[in-house]
Amino acid sequence: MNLEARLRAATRAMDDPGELDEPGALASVRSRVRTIRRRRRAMATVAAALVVALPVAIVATGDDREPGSVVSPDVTTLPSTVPEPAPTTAPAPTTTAEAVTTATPTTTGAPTTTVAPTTTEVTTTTPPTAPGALDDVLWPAPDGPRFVDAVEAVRSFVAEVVGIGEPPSQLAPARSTGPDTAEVDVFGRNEDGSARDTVVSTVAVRRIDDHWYVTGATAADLVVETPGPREEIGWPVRVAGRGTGYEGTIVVQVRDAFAGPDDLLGLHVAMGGALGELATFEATVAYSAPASDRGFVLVHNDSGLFGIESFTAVPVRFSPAGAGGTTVHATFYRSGEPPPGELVPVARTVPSTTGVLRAALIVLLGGPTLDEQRDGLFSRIPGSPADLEGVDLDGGRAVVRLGERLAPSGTVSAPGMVEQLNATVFQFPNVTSVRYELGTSCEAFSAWAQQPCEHQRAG
Amino acid sequence: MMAFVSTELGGTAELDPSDSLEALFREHYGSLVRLANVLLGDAARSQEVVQDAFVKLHVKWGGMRHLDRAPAYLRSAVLNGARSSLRRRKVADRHAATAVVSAPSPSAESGALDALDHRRLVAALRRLPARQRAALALRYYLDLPDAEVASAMGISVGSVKTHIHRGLATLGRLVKEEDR
Repeated sequence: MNLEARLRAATRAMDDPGELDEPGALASVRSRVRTIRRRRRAMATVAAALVVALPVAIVATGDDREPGSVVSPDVTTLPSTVPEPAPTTAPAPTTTAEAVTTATPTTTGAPTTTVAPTTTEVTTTTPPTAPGALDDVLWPAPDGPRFVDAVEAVRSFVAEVVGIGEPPSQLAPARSTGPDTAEVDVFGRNEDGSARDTVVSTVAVRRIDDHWYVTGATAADLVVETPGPREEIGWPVRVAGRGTGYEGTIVVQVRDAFAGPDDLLGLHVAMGGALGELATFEATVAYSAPASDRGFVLVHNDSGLFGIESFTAVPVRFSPAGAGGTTVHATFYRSGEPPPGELVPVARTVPSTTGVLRAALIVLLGGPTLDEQRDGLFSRIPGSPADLEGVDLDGGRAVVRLGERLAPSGTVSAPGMVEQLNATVFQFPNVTSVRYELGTSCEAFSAWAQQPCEHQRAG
Repeated sequence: MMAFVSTELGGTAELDPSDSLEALFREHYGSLVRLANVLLGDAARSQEVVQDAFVKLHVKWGGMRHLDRAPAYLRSAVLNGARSSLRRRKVADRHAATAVVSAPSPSAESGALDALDHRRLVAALRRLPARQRAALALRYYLDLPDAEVASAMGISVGSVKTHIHRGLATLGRLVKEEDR
């Protein structure tokens, strides 16, 4: 019996928790729900009282904080520049003198720093600036909102691009790094949502025509070694570095410039270090054809409790050779009866290529996108695009070589895997037969797949 | 009182939250405790985790548009609860001199060798990181396809495949180590 069958039998034999007191458990649940509801009603009463009391308090005491200002943990917020009035049709004039104030060190030991001018967010205005000036910008888009406040630009980036929602991250005051550049530290969060005094990521910003733009982000526990900033990347792209995440989970995404968390070009979950210890991670991401030649690689880990903890963003260039795109199909399953369900070909436009068989197999190994998964699609093929070691096509006969690490010793593949491979390979009319190899061995593939390794086009 | 239409619990009858909770509880409490017990190996804690899930479900009841999603919600909540429980226990476990295996005795019908193998495998399963453990339990204990495992765990299918792949590899290694 193989490992999977043994595991199936073992878990079913060992699941018995003993006798259960279901009526007692149900009564306990009901009691707890009643308590929670009582507490909520009490809080609602207090909130209603505050709504009445707060305006009175503000009138009585005044409030000298800027709109939207952030009180970072253990950072003394010093008086900043006077809020700039929001422009209507043209950017508001800003002072030419660098407004310099000094922030007290954070508890993480940051030295006393020069703080970039902070004012408030402005609304959308006409696109700024000379051609090319925004080439390394990740956020905001030239036609999107613009910010005269570096911290607000970062706040918007963290929420709308990185996707850190509730609880929101707390930000430090901007720290000047040059005449028109600055950095903003992002603090971590505790389990209850409060800010920790630990900086998890640092976001770099640049001022162009009096407005602040995000140009990248770094994190001490997520170091991306390849690709480098503004490097031209191929397809699929290999992303590697050192990092740590909850249970070793590190998420690698490829995105168009200005794209948010729901608009991914590609995603792969890699394994790095855990419990704060950095270890190498590597991901090969088969991303969809980008909308422009500019994008970024976003790498983040997970707190295990409330989503993203720290993140790194590396601006990249997409190869102009891929412009235009090529559409290939990969075949996945949609859940249904009988298991594993119905084979469904999915079209994917990838950067332009003549190696369409390889491209289709890479898409297949990459698995369904998040949207496709929400549509019920799944794959029986484990691994990632990196597990495709080679594809040859000679006179209608294809040879597909898969990496040995796809098949841990003693395991067999899930039923339906070969059908997915065949459907993807034989979409191309000029492929008449295929041989699958696992680590250059036909026999190893057969043992793993429990099917022959040689297949002919049906009909 | 707001009423809901159930597609899971017997067609189109309108149900009030209390009745629905009870019906859900009767139908799913035992199976969810067994799932949690596979993950945790602790019957008392497993029951707490499942009760927590029902409390969360009931509290959020007014915000649920589709009652037929309640079982999936419960399963996800149990997985999350088990993961949090494991996380809290991790520090203590790291300092434990030996792996703690709290498994019930095999039934009289089980062959001694089978029982030994089951105990050894489940012990190894419980030594895996929480997500690998959950992915393997959902795949091999509940026989869910990748898409449903991904949905229950709130992660991508690619991530599920990674966790299963690595989980099996580690499981195989742990069992082999014990064979020596």
